[in-house]
Amino acid sequence: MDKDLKFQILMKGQQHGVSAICEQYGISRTLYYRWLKRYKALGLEGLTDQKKNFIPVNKTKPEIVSAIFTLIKKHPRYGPREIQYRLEDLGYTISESAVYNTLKKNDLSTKQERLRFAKRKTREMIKNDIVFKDLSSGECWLCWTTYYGEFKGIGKVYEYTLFDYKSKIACSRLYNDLSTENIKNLLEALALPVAQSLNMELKYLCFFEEAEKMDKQSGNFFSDIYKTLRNQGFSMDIHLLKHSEDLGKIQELRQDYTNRCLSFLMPYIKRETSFNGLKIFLQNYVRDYNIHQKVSYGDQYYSPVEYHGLTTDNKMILPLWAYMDRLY
Amino acid sequence: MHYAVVGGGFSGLLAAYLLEKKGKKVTLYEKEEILGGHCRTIVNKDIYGEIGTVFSFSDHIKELLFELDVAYTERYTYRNFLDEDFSKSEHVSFEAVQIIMKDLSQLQNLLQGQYPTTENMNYGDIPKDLLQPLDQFLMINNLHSIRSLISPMLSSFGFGCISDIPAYYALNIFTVDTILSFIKGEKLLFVNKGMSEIVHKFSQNISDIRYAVNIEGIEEKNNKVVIKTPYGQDAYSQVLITAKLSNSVLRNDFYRQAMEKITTNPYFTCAYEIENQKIVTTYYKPHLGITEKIQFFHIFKQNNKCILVAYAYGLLNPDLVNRTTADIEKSGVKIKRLITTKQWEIFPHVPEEGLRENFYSDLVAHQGNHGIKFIGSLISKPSISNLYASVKREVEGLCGVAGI
Repeated sequence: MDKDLKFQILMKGQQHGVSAICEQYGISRTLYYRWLKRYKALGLEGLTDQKKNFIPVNKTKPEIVSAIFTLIKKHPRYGPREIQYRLEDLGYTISESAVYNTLKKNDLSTKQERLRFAKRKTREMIKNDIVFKDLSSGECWLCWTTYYGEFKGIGKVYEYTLFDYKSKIACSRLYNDLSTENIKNLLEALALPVAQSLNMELKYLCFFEEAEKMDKQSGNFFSDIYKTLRNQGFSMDIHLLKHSEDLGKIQELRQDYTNRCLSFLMPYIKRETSFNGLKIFLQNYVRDYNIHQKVSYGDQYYSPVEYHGLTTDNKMILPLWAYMDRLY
Repeated sequence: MHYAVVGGGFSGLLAAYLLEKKGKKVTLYEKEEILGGHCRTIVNKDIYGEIGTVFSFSDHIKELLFELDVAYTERYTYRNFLDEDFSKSEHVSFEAVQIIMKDLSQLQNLLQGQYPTTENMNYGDIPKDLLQPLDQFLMINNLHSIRSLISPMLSSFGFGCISDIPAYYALNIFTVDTILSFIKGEKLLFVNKGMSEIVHKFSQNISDIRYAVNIEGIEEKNNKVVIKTPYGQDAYSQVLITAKLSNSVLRNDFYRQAMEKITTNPYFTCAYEIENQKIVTTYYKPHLGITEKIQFFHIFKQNNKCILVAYAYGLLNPDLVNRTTADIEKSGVKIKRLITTKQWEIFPHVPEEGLRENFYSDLVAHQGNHGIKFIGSLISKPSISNLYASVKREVEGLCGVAGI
């Protein structure tokens, strides 16, 4: 609100009564008197918007807020108390009243509002505004899981991959099951330190539909991922790729990469390699892919790490372990 | 039996805590006004930054944290390395990795075959070859590549220069497994609310703590050990010493001479609040081991706030702090303000010229005679998890059968 308007409100309040004017402008009497005090002390300048450089200690953490949204999506009939119990189960400490305040702030304090919110398709944390053609190397990562099948002596095999859209740099690991923990492990142990080493300006992390399923199961998939990113100092937007115009091209990238990995691994799987052996084979393959294999970028051919270095003017600096066999 | 523990750092507190838990009478002496020694956490709003001990290797310590109800997180530590121009470089080059892996397995074989004592929890008999500085030892054994690999780790622990530190110490703490876990960037254990929380929990369980007390003498009298302070004296059946004491304190010849040989490295930390950037723990490669040069810094992040803690060898003075600040800024960090500086004396050890093969084995043989025992980092590798195991074993030894 600009200072002239504040001044007008102050003056009208003095003429017509504070309560009436506060109601008319939708502000609280507390705020009115705070302005008045500042005006008396500093004149008109005192009414300039104060830059808020203070974040209260007890401000509800974004991951808790997103966990609340996720819970409401799932259980719109829950009130603040039930939500608080659920949050406790998920490991978040927050009071019932803090839950209420968060709901109030987001116009979700009544059951009707929450039911409406739950029906809406859009999700607070998930946006859909990436312009894929404008992306630079390292800005937008795709995350997917691919089920390879169940194999003798190994069990189920899922490939988890984080793939930079532009440079095609990939981080992949194999796991026995589908879980949020595995994605977090891939991010923390592999993808984020690589991104950090290569000076990537991460902006977006995109998931496919399977992530929505995982979110439905656990109830807090997206907030978990969000928390993981934040803990490592990355603030990325999380996206869910569903109806994007670029989905076709993205699926093509995914298919191409998955085919490469699969055709490399299949002989080993057939030879009944141990799961750990298989993991190391994939690790070696992906290292070779990133550093040495030539991939097409329009009419040019580079290795993904080479391409990233050229387009972002970065030396190829990788953590020491990127060159080593590393069991997980 | 009435025990005295000298030194209220991690080892001293742990010893006192364990003794009291076993129903023993124990008195803890600390020379500073606050406990904790190298476990020192600074708190700014809701961010906890360590200015002393930062993390633990995960092995033994979890049971203690569980017992004390201290919350911890295991997380990956990302590391950067800077070259002469303060620009990002690799720890070691891609080409060197193959050689390093070969050298590491050679080192593993060498240690297991010829120097198995390096595996022990406490220091002991020192093989003659390991008395020489680490640098020399690696050269002689043709393990040049290990040099660049291990020097950041030496700095992390305040071990000093690779050409001074006796190989025994370095290889005792940096076993090949530890080196591998470091370079593979495996998870480390951090206490959520800082190492000081452990200190706090310990002290809540110790009845008799004397703060800011200067011990003037420790001597044997009538089968008891007497601790003299400016305000009086008390007699104990056994005194456990966890820290380097000044030369005149111990009156017993053997222990005094041993203590005189032990020195520490002056090391200081500077803590800053910085603009929240994508910055991780960073090592200054050309500085490693050199006094009065920043060795590395750690980053603590929470809710958009970011604390940087830098480490350097030497004695604190304003000029040195300013140079450290300048070196941090040269690497592209935007500093908001200096929060604090702190002088440490770190890593009690016997320097190369004074170190003999039997220094620690003699000490072990004498332990407990005349009612005196050295424990903690005086006789054991100075990592929190190892100290925990070592001190616990000492206390169990004192109290008879383990667990009673």
